[in-house]
Amino acid sequence: MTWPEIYLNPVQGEILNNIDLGDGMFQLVVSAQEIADRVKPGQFVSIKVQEGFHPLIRRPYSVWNAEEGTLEFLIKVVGTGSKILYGRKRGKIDMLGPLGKPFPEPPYDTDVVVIAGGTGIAPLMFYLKYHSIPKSILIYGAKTSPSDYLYSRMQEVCDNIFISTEDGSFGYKGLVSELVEELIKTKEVVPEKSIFFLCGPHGMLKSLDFLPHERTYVSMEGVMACGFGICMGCAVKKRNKKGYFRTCVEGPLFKLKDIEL
Amino acid sequence: MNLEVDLAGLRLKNPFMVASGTFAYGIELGIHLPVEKFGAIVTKGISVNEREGNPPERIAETPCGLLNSIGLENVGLKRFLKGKWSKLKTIGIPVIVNIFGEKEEDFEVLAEELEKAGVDALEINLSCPNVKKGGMQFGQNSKIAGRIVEIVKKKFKSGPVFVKLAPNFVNIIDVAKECEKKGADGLTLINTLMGMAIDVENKRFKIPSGVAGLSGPAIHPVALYIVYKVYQEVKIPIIGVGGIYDYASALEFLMVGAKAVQIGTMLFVNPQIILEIIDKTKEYMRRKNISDINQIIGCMQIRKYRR
Ligand SMILES: Cc1cc2nc3c(=O)[nH]c(=O)nc-3n(C[C@H](O)[C@H](O)[C@H](O)COP(=O)(O)OP(=O)(O)OC[C@H]3O[C@@H](n4cnc5c(N)ncnc54)[C@H](O)[C@@H]3O)c2cc1C
Ligand SMILES: Cc1cc2nc3c(=O)[nH]c(=O)nc-3n(C[C@H](O)[C@H](O)[C@H](O)COP(=O)(O)O)c2cc1C
Ligand code: FES
Repeated sequence: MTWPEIYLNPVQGEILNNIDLGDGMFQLVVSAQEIADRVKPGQFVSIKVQEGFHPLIRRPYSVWNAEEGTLEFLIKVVGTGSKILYGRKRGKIDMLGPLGKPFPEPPYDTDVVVIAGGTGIAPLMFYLKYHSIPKSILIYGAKTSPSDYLYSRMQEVCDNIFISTEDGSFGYKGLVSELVEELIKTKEVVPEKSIFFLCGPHGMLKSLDFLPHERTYVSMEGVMACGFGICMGCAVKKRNKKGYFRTCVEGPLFKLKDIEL
Repeated sequence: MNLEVDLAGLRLKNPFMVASGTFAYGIELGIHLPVEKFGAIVTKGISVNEREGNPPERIAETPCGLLNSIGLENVGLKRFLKGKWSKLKTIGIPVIVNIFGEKEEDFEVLAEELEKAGVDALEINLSCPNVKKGGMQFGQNSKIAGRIVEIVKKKFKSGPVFVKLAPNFVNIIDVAKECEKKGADGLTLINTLMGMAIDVENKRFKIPSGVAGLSGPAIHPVALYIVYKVYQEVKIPIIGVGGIYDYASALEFLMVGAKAVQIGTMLFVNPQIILEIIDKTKEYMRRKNISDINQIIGCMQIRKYRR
């Protein structure tokens, strides 16, 4: 395998902003020139949420946007680490990155369809923004309606947005996989003419296993201990083969035909 | 200022090395990190045959610690010798190859082949399950542990053989003494402590197999005490390992008698940690007017045990 370009010197970023976006999500804005200059869409940054031994290990977060020396992250409050990050409004923050392989350049003759659940939208929006893609479609699913701010940010990177909410408060009422099936039926999405990029909770990814495996990429977000290839903790099962990939250095993006969800 | 130590005949330019399984095969980060500044490299565990390891989740965090169940994933002896060892030996520092087996014969094959390849030293991981004994760890029975040492020592002559033990349901002093008797050149103390964690919300083990190995700062006091006690019972050198998180927690091991130390889990948090420990140790020695690190080793032992 080719090892990605990784940077193993922790960088002390400065928290510039930390905004509640509703639906349990928040936006973390950090100034970190070294990382912002290098990062490409799909890569992640491993954050030590606070000094000390608990939580012990870093938490990886995909970069949502990077420009002029700042990084943006879109984070959901889940457990220990994300709760602490939610409360961090100012100060220095210890980061390692960029880590992982960037997403591949988009082909210019194919529709790019990104499908995200919750914060899985982060790397996909950065991808759409970074590359000029003739035709892209953004499909976003969540429990409830995205905040006005998040929605306006989606509009900045894509003209064709479809949204599903489980409570029906916005767009299609139901699961994102049902919405995707619907869009294929109505020919809004043409699988043979598209490549797909998926990122989101495991259940959502599994429900989309019907997409063409050869043309679908999945960005994986399993638990990591190191983030740079030395612990073997981030295993993803190979499809129809023995063994595992390491998400952190061989991914986080994989072709659906290569991995088992 | 001297940081060099003699570890059972291995000359280490400083006593700080990586712990097995926490630095992959030792060659991955070469261009990203000045690995040649470490005292030595310890490879991840190598078995006769390739092993694919355990299904996820392989990692769960606990307070100040980490549970892992990697399942001893490795490429197997053949591919290790072909692809990894040839690169490892060009780094220019001693390489200790960590080995494990499922049955006694495996250790013989590993020792024989690694002897032929001329590796600098071996570390036998006895915390792996013995398939013929229903998965009981080799290191949980001093007789079996001693026999493995004998087997390996008979075949491996190109350098010292260290035995790595954990205090899981066993009197580690008995095992340590038996290993010494059967010719072990040194001991690595300690391997991970067996532990578990449960997700009560979903009533499931955080690591599917249930049991996992606990590492990280949480185990440091336990590891330190074991090195302290075992030092009083054996003559062979000890490598201290468990929860090292800075220069002081590393020097603690030296002070109770360890000749060298290994750093594992905290490498995941800070890949620069070994380099930082080396620098901070030098600063400490300067501050305390210590010209040779060997002066520290064993200084916290009871007088009658100092050597
Ligand atoms: C490459 C990558 C990119 C990521 N990008 C983002 C992102 O952009 N935004 C974001 O909000 N999160 C992202 N994550 C997830 C993030 O790293 C943390 O896992 C998440 O914030 C939970 O951490 P915590 O400390 O709050 O929860 P913990 O206290 O660690 O865990 C709480 C509970 O959630 C479960 N859990 C923890 N982590 C995961 C996981 N990764 N997958 C499934 N279950 C888990 C645990 O088993 C536990 O039961 C990403 C992960 C990876 C690997
Ligand atoms: C992810 C991981 C994998 C490990 N794999 C091995 C192994 O293959 N062989 C071995 O002897 N010890 C293995 N260990 C144990 C470590 O070498 C070390 O003894 C233990 O983690 C305690 O040190 P630490 O607290 O500094 O990590 C592993 C530890 C971790 C965290
Ligand atoms: S997280 Fe350690 S190898 Fe991927």
